[in-house]
Amino acid sequence: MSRWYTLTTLSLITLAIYLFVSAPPPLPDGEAKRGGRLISIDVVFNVLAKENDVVRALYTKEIVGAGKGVGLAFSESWRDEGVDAGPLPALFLREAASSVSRRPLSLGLFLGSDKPIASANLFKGAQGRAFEQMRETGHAQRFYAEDTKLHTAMYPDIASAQPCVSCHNAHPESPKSDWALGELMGATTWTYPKAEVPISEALALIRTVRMGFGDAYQAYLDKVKGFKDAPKVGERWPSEGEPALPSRAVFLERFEREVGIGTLRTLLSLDLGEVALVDEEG
Amino acid sequence: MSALKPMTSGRSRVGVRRLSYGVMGSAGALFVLWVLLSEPTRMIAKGPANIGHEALSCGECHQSPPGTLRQRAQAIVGAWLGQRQHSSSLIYQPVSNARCNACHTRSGDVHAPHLFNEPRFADARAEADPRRCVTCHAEHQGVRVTRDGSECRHCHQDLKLRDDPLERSHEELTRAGEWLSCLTCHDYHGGHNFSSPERAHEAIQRSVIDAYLRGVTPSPYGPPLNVARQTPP
Repeated sequence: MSRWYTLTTLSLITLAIYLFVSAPPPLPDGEAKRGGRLISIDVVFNVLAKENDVVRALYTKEIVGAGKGVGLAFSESWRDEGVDAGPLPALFLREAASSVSRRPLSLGLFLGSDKPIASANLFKGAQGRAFEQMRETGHAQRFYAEDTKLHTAMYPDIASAQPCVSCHNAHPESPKSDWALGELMGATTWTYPKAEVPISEALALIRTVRMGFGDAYQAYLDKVKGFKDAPKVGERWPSEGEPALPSRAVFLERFEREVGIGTLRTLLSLDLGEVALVDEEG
Repeated sequence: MSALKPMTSGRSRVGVRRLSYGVMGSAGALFVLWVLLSEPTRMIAKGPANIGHEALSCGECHQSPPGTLRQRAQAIVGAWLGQRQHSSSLIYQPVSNARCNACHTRSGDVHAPHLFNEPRFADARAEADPRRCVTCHAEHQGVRVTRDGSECRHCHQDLKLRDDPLERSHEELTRAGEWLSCLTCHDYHGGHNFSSPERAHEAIQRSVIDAYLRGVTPSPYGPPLNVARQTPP
């Protein structure tokens, strides 16, 4: 009996030495913290939602709205073979969200409403309750989704361009046919697993979303290549009166100009703790 | 009267038992070492590969976690003791959606798994987690899809259309619980060059759908829009 006891004790000691005493460096436990304070994910969501508003308005007005004026088509079935059309603004957001979902950061982006065209996009549960609050207050709503362990923020999706209201009002499946400019049509929902992130991760999130916008627009340009009468892609915009589309770079450059210094100002206003200053002399 | 001692005296019985324990223990330890140190290509699959995966080697899906065996064991014990947040796997990482996405890009997927992270799909997540590819495409079954495709009922209970193109409306079909009819007109991921028919007689027969899901026949939805990579990157 005592032999077994000795054997077991020696085995456990050996295991403890193997695992802890003479152990190699441990595997990283999540991302390394690089010093400085953490930023609330709500601040990052605010930045992302603002940038999303800008790109959606740009796409809706300058591509969809102006594009229809020069003969370009946009459709729910834009991906179908033989359909020479681009994505509608809601589908542009879905393309961006799809690109974001394929990146390493677990950022979620969704769009819904309490009066959607497709009933599958109807808010319910926690989102339904939050959207009711949003209708009353006009403000973003935030909550923590327990089952998915995701920090969630919903931002108003306002009818910011005429094509938004005219298209939704004309759609046969729309439950509401008198949408007006400036009206709350729905909400974007953003989700992330962390409550706080270091500045490096905040910047990575912004970069991820901007890449998503670029990929969404590129998906449209890739479809355009197969059009029977493909518009010219380059420097020009449909608003200049001819069937032309800006290239991805030109589209994103315009987006960055319209976002302006808002994102930069927000990031610079954050209290990031001690920051090492570069010694200019050496 | 025999002066011979019995062949199996008390002491020799104990000796034989110890010897057999020693042999079994050593064999067991050697087997464990062989499993721990063997490459995934020498795994024993629990069933035939699903359709389209026949040419893949085990290691192309079942990848080793980062770090050495010792580091992984450290991480597992450390997480169990609450000393670190993230654990590890000892031999193989779980096969996640990221591994599926390495070959199946599926641009334009109308039922992309990430969509079901949205809070309003809590019921669907609880009943049949659609966030994971393997929920419907469980591997090592020798088929294409391991569900019957009636999962639409979790999200599409309200299908009242003002301009319903069908003779028998979507609302009537869903009220009658005819969820197996969905796939006869709708391509779940939208990954094929397929337009939904507007007449009942143009729908794909359910038996054809079943054969396709089992992997017996090619797609009745037409050619795929995105062809999967033949090997993961």
